[in-house]
Amino acid sequence: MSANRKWECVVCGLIYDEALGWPADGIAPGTKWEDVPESWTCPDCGVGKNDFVLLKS
Amino acid sequence: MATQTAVDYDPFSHEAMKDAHPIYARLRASGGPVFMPKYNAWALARFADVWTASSGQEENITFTAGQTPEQVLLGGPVPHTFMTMDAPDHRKWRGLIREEYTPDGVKVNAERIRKLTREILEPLLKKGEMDVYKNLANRVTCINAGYMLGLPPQDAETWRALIDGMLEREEGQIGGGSPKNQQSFGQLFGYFMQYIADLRQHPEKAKGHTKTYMEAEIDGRKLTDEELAFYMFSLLVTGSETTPISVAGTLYYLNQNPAQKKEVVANPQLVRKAFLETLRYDQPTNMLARKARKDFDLNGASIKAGQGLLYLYASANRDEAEFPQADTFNMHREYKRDLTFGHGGHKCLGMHLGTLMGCIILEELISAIGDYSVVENQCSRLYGEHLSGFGKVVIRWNAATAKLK
Repeated sequence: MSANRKWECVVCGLIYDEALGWPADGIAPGTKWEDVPESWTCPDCGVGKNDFVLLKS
Repeated sequence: MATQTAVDYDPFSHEAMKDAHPIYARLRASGGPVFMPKYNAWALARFADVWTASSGQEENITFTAGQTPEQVLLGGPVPHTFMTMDAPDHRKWRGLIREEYTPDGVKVNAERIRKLTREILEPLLKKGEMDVYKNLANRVTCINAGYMLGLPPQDAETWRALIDGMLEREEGQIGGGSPKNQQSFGQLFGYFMQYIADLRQHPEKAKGHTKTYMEAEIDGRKLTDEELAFYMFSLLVTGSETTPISVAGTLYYLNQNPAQKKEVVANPQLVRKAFLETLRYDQPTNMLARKARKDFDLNGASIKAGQGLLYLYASANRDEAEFPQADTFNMHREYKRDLTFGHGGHKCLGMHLGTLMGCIILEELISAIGDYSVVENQCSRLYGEHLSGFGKVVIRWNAATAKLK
């Protein structure tokens, strides 16, 4: 199983942690970034997925 | 639904520059964006309209026409930085420093800012009275903004005076073209140009964001001296002006709400709640301006390409449709969203750092002085079209017991 990754919003710094998902938006813990709906936007600043970058561990 | 009934709103009017909240209430009550024929622009006063116009709109809106009402409505000069770029350039140039402004990125500054705050605060404690904005908060933020740029701290007092001179407005003045405004801007910009000329001779002296932007090359392009000076100018001003307004405002509003003040004095860790509520209640970035680059509809308003848009953040954050009892200062209010730092791709880069600084300053101050009083007739609000809030708040405390904790 691939390790959980973290993705950071380049605008506000919010982190999407695959291990945690984003349950408030219906994204279950463990949801891989690729499986997060393309329509999902940063809960803090509202930008789209293309404004997130993979955080290097 | 948009209306052209006119709520007679002019952001440069005396009424608006003195205290825009009564007119903002009228604008919100009109139900949607309000057209200002004089400026061929729309005023967005309702939370929902500002929110919608902030996110997912990068095809419809351009940031390149400027961001202040003077730039977008009056055609004032527009400094070319990432603040006035559209994507993808915006992300590329802002991205050069963005990691220093994330929630984790700003933490490295906490100890240094706290030390700076304590150094400035300690000699003030025995006086028993101070103008929080001028004597404490603005000094901290200006020195910090200079630090982030790698500038010498001993020049901070000069910058402060020039920034204040640039933003000052006389009654009846439209925009920033007074001799004092222009002279202040010219001197400040001249300072940066001279500094950069020296750095070109001695590049090893460059530090912080100045070094980053001086060395940056994006899409085969490096910044000219003038462009670099605009970056330094913009980052110094945006990094130093709004936080102290809200620090001063927090002390003022807590004093007006004794039960909340008592809580914060007993537990200075609560300053964060009070500071954030001040930012909502009396937002220092009163408004920013954009321009439409395509026709689009917004809550029934047919926005046309080329028309200006005023994002009235200070109004939106007082919208009763979003914040119950919006005109009440309540540091315990809970909400899921706000426009305190804007929204969307241009959301305030400095939001985490500004919040950190504001909280450190307030925590150190209140921990040291405990209870305080506000000298009402020595408090004054900014007068102008762009920023709002308190530019002077004089407080008094018991000097005999005041001590850094």
